[in-house]
Parts: sequence; structure tokens; C-alpha cells
Amino acid sequence: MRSYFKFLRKNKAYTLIDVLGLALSVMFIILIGAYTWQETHLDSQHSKIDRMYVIGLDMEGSTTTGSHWRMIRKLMDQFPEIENGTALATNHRWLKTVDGENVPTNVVFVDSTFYDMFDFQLIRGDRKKVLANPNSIVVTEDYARRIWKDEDPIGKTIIYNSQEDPLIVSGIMAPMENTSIFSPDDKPVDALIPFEMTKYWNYSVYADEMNNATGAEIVLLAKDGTDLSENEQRYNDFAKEFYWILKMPGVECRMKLIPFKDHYFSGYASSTGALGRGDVKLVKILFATGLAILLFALMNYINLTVALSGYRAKEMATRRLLGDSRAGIMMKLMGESTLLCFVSFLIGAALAWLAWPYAENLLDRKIDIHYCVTPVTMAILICIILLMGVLAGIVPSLLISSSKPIDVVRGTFRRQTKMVFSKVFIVVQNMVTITMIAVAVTMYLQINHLINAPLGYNTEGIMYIENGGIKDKTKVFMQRVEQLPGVEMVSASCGHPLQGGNNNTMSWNDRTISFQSFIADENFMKIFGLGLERDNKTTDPVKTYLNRQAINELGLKEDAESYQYYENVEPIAGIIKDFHIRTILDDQHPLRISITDVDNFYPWGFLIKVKGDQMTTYEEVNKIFKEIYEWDNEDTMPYLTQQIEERFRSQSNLAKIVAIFAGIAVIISLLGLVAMSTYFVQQRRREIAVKKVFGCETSEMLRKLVLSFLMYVVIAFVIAIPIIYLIMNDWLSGFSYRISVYWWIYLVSGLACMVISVISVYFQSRKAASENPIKALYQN
Amino acid sequence: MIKIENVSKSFRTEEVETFALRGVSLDVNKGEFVAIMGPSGCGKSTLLNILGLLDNPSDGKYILDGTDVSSLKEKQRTGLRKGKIGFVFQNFNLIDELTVEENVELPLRYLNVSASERKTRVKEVLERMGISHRAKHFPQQLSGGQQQRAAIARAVIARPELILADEPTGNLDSKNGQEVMDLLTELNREGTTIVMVTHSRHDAAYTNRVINLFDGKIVDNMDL
Repeated sequence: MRSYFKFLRKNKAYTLIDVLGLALSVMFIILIGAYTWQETHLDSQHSKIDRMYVIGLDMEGSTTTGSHWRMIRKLMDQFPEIENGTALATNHRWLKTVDGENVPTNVVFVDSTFYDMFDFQLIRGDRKKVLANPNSIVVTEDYARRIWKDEDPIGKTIIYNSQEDPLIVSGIMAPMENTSIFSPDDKPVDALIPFEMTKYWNYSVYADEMNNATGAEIVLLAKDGTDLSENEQRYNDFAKEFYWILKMPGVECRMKLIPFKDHYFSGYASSTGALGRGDVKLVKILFATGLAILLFALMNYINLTVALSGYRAKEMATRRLLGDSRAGIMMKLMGESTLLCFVSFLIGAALAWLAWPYAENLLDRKIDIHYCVTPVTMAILICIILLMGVLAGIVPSLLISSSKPIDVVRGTFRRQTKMVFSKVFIVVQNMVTITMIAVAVTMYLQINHLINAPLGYNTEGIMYIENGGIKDKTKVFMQRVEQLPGVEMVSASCGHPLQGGNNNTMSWNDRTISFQSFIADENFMKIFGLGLERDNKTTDPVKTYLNRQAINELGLKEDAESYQYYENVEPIAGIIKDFHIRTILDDQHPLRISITDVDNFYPWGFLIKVKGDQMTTYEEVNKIFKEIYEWDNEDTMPYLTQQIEERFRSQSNLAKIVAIFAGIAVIISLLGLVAMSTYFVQQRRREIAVKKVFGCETSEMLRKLVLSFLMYVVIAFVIAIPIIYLIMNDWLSGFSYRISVYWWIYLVSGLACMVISVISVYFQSRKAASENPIKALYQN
Repeated sequence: MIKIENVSKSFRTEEVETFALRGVSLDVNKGEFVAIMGPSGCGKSTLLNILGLLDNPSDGKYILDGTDVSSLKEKQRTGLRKGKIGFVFQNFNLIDELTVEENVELPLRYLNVSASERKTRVKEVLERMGISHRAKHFPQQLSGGQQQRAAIARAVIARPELILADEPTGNLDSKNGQEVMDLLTELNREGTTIVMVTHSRHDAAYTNRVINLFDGKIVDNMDL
């Protein structure tokens, strides 16, 4: 090994590039591996997970998980193979201490059977009884410490609905980790509250009538040896008798039983947000790009080792002359490459440790290291190191060990290698780099396209504040806010275009129509700049406008003055110009907007058009909110433009990740190219000298050297074009609103790679081209 | 043709300055065949490199065909060298990745000679050197003698006025060495000026004049 360390010390650039490249790639492999492992092993700690199923709804291709809480009892009573069940719903609630302090709490509503089904750790409390009382609450240690400091929290009370009916702390739970059960905005769960309490939050979720078809996630536990998904048809036939959503005329709707361990990547939307969903595309992209970076680093290692093989080959030929076998030489060389990979692995692991928080931020997910450190994952890591060592070492060891001892004796030993592999690797590296640059640019453009899509209504400078909860104070709040110098206009509403409204589904001529319904005051239309296609100029106290889609689906004439809405005849105030609800990607619905005085309804929230500084105005509004409602409005993204960006956060993060990977791939590629050009030029030193002796000018020599490298980039570019097209077309086809793959993206990517290549080879080539030929001619 | 006046050449490292040549003055007339001899390290190859415009003297003047070329820039030296000076080296210095004919035609490429003319002249010179049957082979497929003949072919293809040969028979057996010397003599008879560095008294006997160097100085300049 001493000769190897000497060789590494003598060729510092080689050592640095290899170790740095491998360490960076190992860092990504560790981070991506940990993330992927966690994502694919969520809830693995629950012993009964193989017997659990989530109820989903498949409505003509639109898939959601969700049902009604009462469905559990009905199914259990009818079908003995269903052993148990729990409902899940989530909300961000303001609880109150006995002293009147408001406490923001991330709540998951669960059944009393929750701890029978899931193996989440309960630090204090009896698993069988802790949620039996509807007035109980189980909290985390952290949450308990926040409110009760060092006092024993068991038995303490906290107000959820009313002072007279407080919740009593019955248990302390460990943080819910490694789980697909989420709370709002994926923040840590603070408390579990019995499902009965949802009646105070959203009665329809609790009510006997089961009108709210997606108010809860339902998890069923099958008896041992039973597969509930085989009985789907029977459950559907049974539920159709009482469950309205399965018997809507003209609409195909089925209940689905999804194995719990499959729900995360099932592609089903979560109706309540209580069950998180993974992005399988993201996992695949991360995996592919991590692998690409590792391959780049390995290619660099192989390239450079082959380029330098001449220097080692003479040593190895001499060893063979003195008695070593070819197999022995190969083992020695493979051992050297494995050692280098191991050292790089240690550095890479340290880099991964440092980069951990940034990775969690970028991936928008806490990555729990202790779930990733298992005998299996450690064995996989060891295999990766060994595989890296073998892959990196096999080509150079084959080449180097093939040098003949006789050449050493004769003195006819040649240091040259044909470098065929190197040329192939350079082309592959450039091709992947060009592709990644093109993908990153396309993703960035598409995300921007989505965020800036014209939605048909104003979004700039509009703040949304949730109602503080006291009806009498609505007008007081609005009047105070209107007087602020930075405020132009205030409106109260139930729903708004970005949020959506109430979903009202009614039967109509053997079909079903689902309206999005808003109720708002007269400023609503002005704030959003909504126009009318037709104004029937009614004078009713409640003016209801329909959009073009509603008119068409109802089969009404242009000048229709009324229509049948459930059992009532509702007058039509006019036809409103179409606009998008939620984002540009969401399906559009028939719309009903009812404009009336704020005294006639209980608004969900307030829309505030800001004309001054947005931050200052928000703080002033918040101050008034706290004075009137006596609690803090904690919204960190009150402006609609922020919320639009947030809707595309996962795609934005994906684009950022791809851009980072593209950047890393470019750096590793660049390092490899610099090193390759150095050794390529070194190997041609004598040739360059001879050509110069016989009249080749320095500028001409430089041009030829640089162009010979650029040729690889051109070949790589040609190969990359169809690959870019296929990848981007496939990704973009998932968006209903999308850009095309512009021709200039290909050009920019190719040019970027070309410029990087020219810069990396130029200085080495110039040095070689300018060197006095004598030095090379008279050296061995 | 060649006139060098009081030329010195020194090489400086971090610690020491070495004088390869000290105050060397020398004339070579057109059509002469001159040998430069001396022990190893006496400055023979350094002198040859200066004559071949591969290096500049540290001191003194070098006048080539009436022009002072002592302190030309690298680009100017290359321009002058092209087509005017041919080189033959002890270790041949053929390019392994090129065939014999590709090696030989190199000087013509840098003179922008057309492809068809290059082809004709390469064929001619290879036939003259007796290695036309090896035109498509690579240098490592040739014997030492054949490689040196290819190198001589490359040196003469541009019809230079001056050939500089650095120990041209150093790596050859006596038979091949003899053949190379016969070739060089023939070229000299045709009017090419040749300056040859050699250790061999036998090879020096082919020349008109022998210059002996010792410790960077001319100690003898003898007509034969």
C-alpha cells in the first residue's frame, strides 16, 4: 500500500478529484437513500399494518380516500371479517387554558380504538382506556411542558368547546414519527382527541345522516387471514342502501379498500389531510439523479485511473517480473480502489450529516435517522462500498495488470493507453449533464407558468384572514380594518376563488350537478375584478349569479331568470364571467355566487385589498384581529399570491432539487473534464512537441486540442436531444396547463455544456500548446 | 548560411545556474556536412536546439541566412523553421497514433500543401527511403532502421535547406546505422546542409568537418 499512498501524494489533483467526486456522490446516496427508505417504510413499526385497509372513493376516475365516521360501525355490524376500525380527521385548533390563554394545537381526531390498531408509543396512560372518555385528550410531552411547565399534566384540563365541558388530559404520547398520519401543514401532531368532539368543529363529519361523504379517513382492521379488498363488491352493495354518494344518478362511484401500507403512494388524494401522500415521481427522480451522480464519480475515477495507468503499470510489470501473479496484482489494485471508496464514503457520510437539515428543508420532510439505521440498511451500505470499489477498480486493474514484464526488461515499456473507455465516459457524462440542465430549465419554466397562470381574477395584494369566530364582531372588525391607511377595500365571504366554496351536489334530469357555491358581500366581485356577461338587474336581497358552465350543465337559456335548485326555484341575477377555482390545474365546476349583506350569513373569512406596504398592513390587521377576537391569527402566508406559490410548493421543490443535482452533475463533470484534459494532453505531449518542431503553430495546436474535446460534447448533444424530449414530454403531459419543450432549451443546455467544457480544457491545452517542445522530446 | 557569435546558454533552477554553452562562435556554410562531437553533457544537443530555432541563446547572436534570429518569439521561430529546417532524432520521435505516411506528410500539412500533392511527395520520398511497402503501418510495427528512415523521410519531405540530426544512429545496429549515414551523405551531396551531433567517430568520418565541444566551449574545429 505504501507505493499507492506515494502515488496518491504525487498526483494530488487526481486524488482530490476522485475523493471529492466520490464523497459528494456518497453524500447524495446517503441522503436520498435515507429519504427513500423512510418514504417506503412509513408505519412499518405497526404490527397489524398488513391487516389494515383505508376506505377510498373512486368517482369516475377521480380518486380520494375518505368516508363517514359512522361507516365503521355499520360495516363491522354487517361483516364479521372486519375486526376493528378507527376514523382519522385533522385540524389546526385553538384550545384555551383555564387562565384564558389561547394555545395553537395540531389535533388529530381519532376513535377510542386508535391504540388497539396502531403501535404508537404511549408514555403514560392505559392504551385501552386513554381515549375511551369523549372528553379525554392525549398530548405530547412537549405540548404539556408548553402549557403546564413542570406540573404533572395528567388530569389537567384544557378547553376545546366550552368552559363547562373541558377536555381532561388522560395520557402522554411520544412524538408520532415515521408515520403517514399527518396534521395540518405536516406539522408535528400535538394532541389526539376522541372523534366525538368533531361535532363542535364540523357537525356534518359527526352527524348520523352521513351527508359529509369525505369528512374522515376510515381505517379498518381485518381479522387474521382475511383480505378485505376481495369483498369490495359486497361492501359496496351493502353501503349503496344508505350511503348517498354511492347512489347518485348518472355517476359511477365505488368504495375501494386500499391496503394501508399501499395508501401512501396510491395516488389517491386525501380528503381530510389526515393521511399524507407520497410523491412516487419525486422518489424515482431522486433515485435516478443520485445514481447518475454516483456513476459520474465512478466514471471520473475509472477515467483518471486509466489515464494514469501508465505510471502504475511499470511498477506492476516490475512486480510481476519479480514473481507476483496477475491475479495478485489485480487483487492489490481492487483493494486500493476499495480503500479509496471507503475513505470517500467516510467523508461523504460526514458531509451528509452536515447537509441533513438542508435536505429535510428541501424535501419538506423530517428524515428520522434512527429509522434508517437498521441491519438491512447497514448491510446495503457495505455492499454499496464494496460494489463501488469493484466497479471503480475492475477496468484499471485489468489494464494495469496486463503490462508485460518483458517490456520492462527490454526497456521498451510504453506508457500510452488508447483511452477508449475515457472517451465513451466523457460522452456519457456530457450527455447526462446536458439532459439535466435541459430538465432543470424546463421544470423551472413550467413551475413559473403555473404560478403565473391567468386565473380570471385578481390575486395581487389580496389578503385572506379567517373569521375570528364571533358573529357579532364581524362588522366591527371590518370597519376597523377599512380605516387602515394601507387598506383599499374589505369583503366578507364563505369561500373565495383560490380556496373554493361549499360543494353542493344535486340531482338534475337523471344526472348529478356539483356546484361550487360562494356567499359574499358586494365588495367580493370588486376585489377580485369579476365581471358579468349578463346582468339581469334584479333587486332581490340575495343576488345569485351562475357561471357559463352552470348555465350549460343546467341546460338553461341565455336569458333564463330562474332555475330549480334542490326543492326551490332560485332567481338568477346574471351570468358571471368564467374564472378558475383553486389553481389552473384543478377541474372546474358550475359556480353559484350569492351576493348579500354580511348580516345575512356567517363568513368563513375576510378578503382585504391592500394598497400600502403588504407586511406593515398585515401586522396592523393582525393587531386589530387580536384586540377584537382576543387570539393571534398565526397565518404565515396571508396573501393569495403566497398561497398560489405554496400550492405548487412540491413542484417548486422538485425543480429546485433537479437544479441542485444538475449543478452537482455539472461540477463533477467539470472536474472530470479538467482532469481528463490534463492527462489527455500529458499523454500527447510528445506528439504535440513533434508537431511543433515541424511547424505547427501554438494557436493552431490549441484550437485542435480544444476542438477535439468539443467533439465529445457535440456527440453527447446529439444523443441527448431525443432523451430530453422523451423525459420532458412525459413529465409535462401530467399537467393540463403546460408549456411546450421549446427548441431553445436544447440549444441553451448544449451551449452551457460546451462553454463549461471549453473553460475546463482551455487552460490545460494552452499550457501544453505553449510549452517548449524540447522538454517533451528529450524526456523518456 | 549559419553564423553564431559568442553564444552562451544557461539554465537556472532554484539553487543553481548551469551553463550549457559558453561563448561559442561557429560558422556553417551552405552545403556543408558538419559533425559536433564531445562527451555527454558538453552542450551538443543544446547547440543543436539553438541552431534549429527550438531555443533562444541566453547571450550572443545567431544569424541564419543573413537574419539575426537570436531573440525571436516562439511564433516567429516556428514560422522560420517551417519548411526550412528538418530534424532527425536519436529516438526517432515518430507519432505512434499515426501511420508512417501520416507521420511523413506532417511538415507538408503545416505548409498548407494540397492533399493530392502531399500524397505524391510522400510516395516519392518513401520509395526513395525504401519503405514504401510500410506506408500504412504504425511506427511500433517497424524495425529501428525502418523507423529512422521514416523519420528521415519526414525530415526531408519539405525539401529543407538544413537538416539537424541528433545522434541519428544511436539506437541502431551497425548495418542500419550504415544505411542511415549513406542516406544523409546522399542528401548532403544533393545540396542539403547537415549538422549532426554524434558520439561515433565512424559516423563523424562521413562529414566534412568535426567540431569538438567540451564543457560548453568549442575546443576543436577540424576539416576532414
